[in-house]
Amino acid sequence: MTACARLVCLCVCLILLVPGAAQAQESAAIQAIATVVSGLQVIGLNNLNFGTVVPGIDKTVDKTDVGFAGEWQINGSANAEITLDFTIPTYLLTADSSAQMLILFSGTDASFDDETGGGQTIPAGVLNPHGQGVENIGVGGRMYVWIGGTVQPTISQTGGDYAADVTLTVAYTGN
Amino acid sequence: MRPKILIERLVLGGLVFACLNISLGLAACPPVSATGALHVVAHVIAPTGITAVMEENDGTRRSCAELILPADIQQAPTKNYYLIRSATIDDIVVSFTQTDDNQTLLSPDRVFTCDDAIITGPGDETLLIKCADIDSFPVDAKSVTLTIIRCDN
Repeated sequence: MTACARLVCLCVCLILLVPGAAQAQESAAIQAIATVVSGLQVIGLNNLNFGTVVPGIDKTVDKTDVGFAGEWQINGSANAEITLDFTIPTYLLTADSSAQMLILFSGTDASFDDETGGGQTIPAGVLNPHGQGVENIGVGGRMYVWIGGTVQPTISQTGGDYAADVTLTVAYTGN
Repeated sequence: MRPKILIERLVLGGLVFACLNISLGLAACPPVSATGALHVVAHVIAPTGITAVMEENDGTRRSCAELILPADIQQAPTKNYYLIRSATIDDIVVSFTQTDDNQTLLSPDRVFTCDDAIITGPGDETLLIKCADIDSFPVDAKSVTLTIIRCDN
């Protein structure tokens, strides 16, 4: 049981154990002064779109490619520290999963802007899609995250539409 | 204990916990998290009989279609022939050189006019197309190197 959970139990038990006559006793209030963190929200704004791919030719979408790079918007508590974790695919698949195409992400294929940078083309910093990032939400309670990547179709890659999901998980650290 | 009192005390307990939680700086306990997913999408064009790859001097490779839109390259019925097609055929000029395994030039550089759209290839399944300027056209390890450049007209 965590310290927090223990505190919850202790508070509830103390209240429940107060005898009925205690309702007649005097009470004192304490003043609570703190900033309550607001809920986190992660919204996918733009898919990572490679467009038309030719068999045998790698195709890269850079994280700065507006309209093609994947883009998320994070809404949360201003200046709160958060962790960012990506779940990235290894392959893109056709709708019937009969064919797959390799997709690669480098250690600099993601970026973020906490409202201190210049947006997608001049972001505030770089994120590694393979590791956990720790950043602070902007003063306006927002952060944007972008991701690019490279697909590697084989010479005999089956024609058709390929797709996969990439997921961003964000959590408050408490700092 | 009557149910009403029990409920009141549970609510009160929750409020006390909330106050303590806030005052002790435990606002992020338990952690709050959120997840958002995006789709990664791509459309692969169906492969043709040969693989036509353009390689620029810096090694960058790109599809033929990206440079000579709406040109298309297909393998002709005879394996050693490659047909270069373009809806705007007048806009392209083709040049190729041929070397043997020792990199000896077998034929001088030729500049094909657009009427020479059918070119004899080496029989390779892969045809490397260089986007280099003809004058600086390198003779590399490929047995046949073919250049397609776009004309200004």
